[in-house]
Parts: sequence; structure tokens; C-alpha cells
Amino acid sequence: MRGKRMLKTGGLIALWIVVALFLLFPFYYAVVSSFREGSAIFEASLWPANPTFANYEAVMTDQPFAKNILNSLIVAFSVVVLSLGLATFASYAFGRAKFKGRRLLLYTILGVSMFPQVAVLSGLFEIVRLFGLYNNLLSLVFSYMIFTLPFTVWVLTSFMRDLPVEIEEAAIMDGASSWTIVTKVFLPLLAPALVTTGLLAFIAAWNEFLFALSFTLTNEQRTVPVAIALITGASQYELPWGNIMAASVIVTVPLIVLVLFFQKKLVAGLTAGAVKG
Amino acid sequence: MSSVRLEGIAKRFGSTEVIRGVDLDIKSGEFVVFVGASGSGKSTLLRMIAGLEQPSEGQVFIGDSDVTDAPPSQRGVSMVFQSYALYPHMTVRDNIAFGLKLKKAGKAAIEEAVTRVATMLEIEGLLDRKPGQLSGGQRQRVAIARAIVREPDVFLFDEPLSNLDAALRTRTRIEIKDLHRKLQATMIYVTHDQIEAMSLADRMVILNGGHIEQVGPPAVLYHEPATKYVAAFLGSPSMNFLPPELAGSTEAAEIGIRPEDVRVAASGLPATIEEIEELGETRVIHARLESGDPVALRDRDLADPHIGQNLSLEFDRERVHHFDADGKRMPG
Repeated sequence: MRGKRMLKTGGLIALWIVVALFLLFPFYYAVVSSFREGSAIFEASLWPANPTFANYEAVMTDQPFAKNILNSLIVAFSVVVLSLGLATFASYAFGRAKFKGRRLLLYTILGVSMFPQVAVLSGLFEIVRLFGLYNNLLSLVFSYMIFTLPFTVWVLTSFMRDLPVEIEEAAIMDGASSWTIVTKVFLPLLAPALVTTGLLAFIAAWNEFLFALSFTLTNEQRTVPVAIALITGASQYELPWGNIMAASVIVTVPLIVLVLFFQKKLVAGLTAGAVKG
Repeated sequence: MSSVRLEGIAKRFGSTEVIRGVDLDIKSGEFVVFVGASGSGKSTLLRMIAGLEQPSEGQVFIGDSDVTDAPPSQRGVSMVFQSYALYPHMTVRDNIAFGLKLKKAGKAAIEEAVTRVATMLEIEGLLDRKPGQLSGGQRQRVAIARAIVREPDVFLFDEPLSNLDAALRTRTRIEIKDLHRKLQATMIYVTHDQIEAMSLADRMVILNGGHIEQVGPPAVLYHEPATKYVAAFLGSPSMNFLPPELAGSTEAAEIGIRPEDVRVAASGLPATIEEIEELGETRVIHARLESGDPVALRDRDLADPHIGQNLSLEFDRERVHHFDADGKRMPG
């Protein structure tokens, strides 16, 4: 009996190790490679023989990578703040107010997110040009909301719907306006949902490539994914793997930090509403 | 405190009419309980007084002013909800103070009011806690405190005790009654529990299918029900309804007799015991008359009743109610 149970536990641990390796090894290899220089990068070993920061230095000096990171941060934070702000009020209307065409409008919003990015790219490009936003970070903030708003609105609407009506009515009896109800009563209750959707929106904006590539021209306006993709070597025959790996590690770290920081709220947000209580 | 007057109130949700033609006068300082089965419209009526629901027809007056179109916060009413509806992210203190803060009351005035109300409800020790850390009974007190602190003219209670366990419910019931005496305020209370209704009410309003079946003090409604519906609604177990011949009546379509007014006698209507409910202070015996009609009676005296036992039953003549074919109670 005992042997059987140990076998079972052992099997389970082995399975976890395999899963963890599968998920983490690519990132581990990127980290390790980023500390290797020159041809050492093609050595098949698990640990760099002579770890060096040369790649990191090169990334930061060969191009305005710090500026690119800053751009990405500005764009991603603006997208998160704007989408959450708009989505909170939209979800109050969708979740609480009764009006004609509510379903239609909700599905239209969902429909927006169904178009592949390439399909809207040329049209969006014209709009960006029309507003004179080409090669401007605002064009990215604007276009990213196409994919962040539908899901923030939908997720927050379903959360808003689950908030007890009586709490809202109690606030109404207390003399609260709709604005006060949303900002003072509902917003704090939606915090877990806001963290979850905000983080997802942040990641989506942080990683976006196609729009960022199409709507920016100069190195100074690029966001990180584009900057990394456009890192070039000394000649067209050289792909500077070391620099690319170093850059990838740099841009992954903020995401990991964010997720770890909000971990507790994140799990609460992902599972809230699943079980009553 | 204020009087409340409803004039020709009707409420329709789409094509379903949930309230029709309700007229009601509630005196200043009165404790009125709306009672009825679920779907009788009692909560809707309360919500229209609160202003959370707009009547399709008719007017709501609080004091002398027509508040039919006034928003809830300007009616001078406050409400205690069934689920308490406390703001979960605020401390008890902030929960109580929320309404006053929105009214832009001064900081010192708010602090003073919160302390006074918290002392009255004995929740001073809980002011810095969040609702999640409170028991059901404590949350209930906070909800009541939040209603009191605004010093409303009219208090509205929407089934406030139905989430409490039985012992706590009985105790809180007495406290609410006590509170009414202290505040001398007009209170309107909705419940489906007839015991709660009878023990609290100065006057009860019995609602049935969206209209008022009868209004009056609990004892009057119990002993002189205007209709068969009221007679059947009040009292547990329910009144026995029997063919009129059994009480020697010729005019009535039906007679009613409460279980406590049926006695075991040496001679009378023969019956057989079918079920016995032992309640401690009394027992309820369900018997069947020879005519086939079931009769429930309260009894404390039978030595050792058992199922299948034969009895003779006698009705208290004075307490027999006569109903006509429309279910209206006939005099005499």
C-alpha cells in the first residue's frame, strides 16, 4: 500500500518537473544565452563558461533601447488606464442600466475583437494618418484599445452584474449619485477584476508587434517588441542572438514582477464569481 | 416622523400588474407591517414608498408633500435591506457615516452622530471592523444604525430578519419594537412571517395578489378576518374550513373555526385522529370527521392520544366564522 502511494507521489512529482521544464526551459535558455558572448552562444551547455554583461551593454548602447522601454511603459500604462476607466463606466451601463439595444451593443463590442489585426491594419493606418498620429505613441494607445476594450468591458460587465443590487440601492437611499456609486462603492469592489483585466491588457499592449511596427517609423518612437525584432548585427548575415536574448530578458522581467506583485489579487480575480460566497 | 399616504397606487411590469388600486393611510409614528405571500406585491409597495420603484399610477405622499417623483434620498426615508447591503470595503464607521458624508455634514457632526447611534445599538466596539468580520446579527445592527443615523421621517424594513437564525430573530424582533418606542418614528415593515407581523405591528396590511385584503390591528385581523383569505393566512395551523351544516348554519357557504376553538368533548362530532404534532406547550391533532372533512385542533388535555383513536369534537359556537360564497365574512 505504502509503496504504491510513494510511486504515485513520485510519478506526480516527475510529471510536474516535466511540465515545469517544458514551460521554463526556453526562458532559462534565453537568460543563459544572454550572458554569453560571441561564438560561445552556440555552445550546447547549460551554464555559460564565462558569463558576461557585454550583450546587455550592447543592447543599451547600440540603439535607444532605454527609450524603447520607456515608450512601451507609456503605451502600456496609458492603454491600461484608459481601457479600465472606459470599461468601468461602460460596464456599469451594461451591467446595471436597462436600455434598448444593450445586447446588440455588447455583441458589437465583442465583434470588434474578432477581426484579425491584419484585416483592420490598412484602414487603421488611414485613420492614424488622418489624425496626424503617424510615428506618434498616441497612435499605439489608440489602436491597442481595439483589442483591450472588448475584453475589459466584457469581464467587468459580468463582474458588475454579480454585484448585489441591494448595495447599489442602499447607496441610492444614502443619496449617492451614479458617479459616486461607481467610484466610491463599485470600484473598490471591482478591484480584483480590475487588477486581472488590467494586467492582461498590460501584457497585450506590452507584447503587441504589428501595429507598433506599422505606425512607427523612427527608432525613438518604437516600442520594445519592434525594437528587438529590428536589432541587427554587423552585417546582414549576422543575427545578434546575444543582444536579442539580453533584450528579451530585459522586457520579460517587468511582466514577471507585475504578475508576482499582483499574484494574490490576480487569483482572486480569476476565480471570483465562480463560487458564491 | 411623518405620515405616509398612498393614493390609487398601481404598478405594472410590462403587462403584469403587480399592484392594483392601493389606498393606504399610515399615521405619523405608526408601526405598519405589510404581510402577504410571495408575489403579493408587499416588497414592490415598500420600494415605491422608498422611491426605488416608480408607480405606474397614483401618488405617494410623505407628510404633506407629494414625493411620487422625488428621488429616494430626498424623501426623508431610510431602508434596511434583507441582505443588509453593507458596503463590504468600508469599516462599520464608514458604512454608517456614508450617507452623512454625501450630505456634506461636518466632520465633528458625523463623528458625534455615529457614536450616538452606535451606542444606541451597542456596536461601539465594532466601528473599526469590516462587515466581513461581523456575524449576521451584528451586520443587522449596523444596517439599522445606518438607517437611523440619517434621522429619517420614515423607516422602511424589507424582511430584515429573514437571514437570521430563529433565536436571534425573536430577540431582534423585540429590539426593533423597542427601537420604535424610543424613536417614536413611523416604521413600515415587510415580512412574509405572520408571527413577526403580528408581534410588531400597530396595524397590519394584508396583501393578496397586489391589492389590500384587510388593514387593522393584529388582534382584529385575527379574530374578525374580513375575508376567508385573511382568516386562512393568519394562524398556524390554519383555520379549519368546513361545510356550514356542521355548525348548524343555513345561510353561510362555509364556516371557519380555528384549531384552538375546537375542543374534545364527551359528545359531539365523531372524528378519528390521523396525525399528532407534539409542540411541547400544546399539541396539534389532525383528525378526520365522519363527513370526511379534516379538522385540526389544539389540545393539551388528552392523556395518551394515538393515531386511529376516536374522539368527539365540539366547536366553540361564539368563535365560529361564517363566510359567504364570495369568501366574505358574514356578521354574527
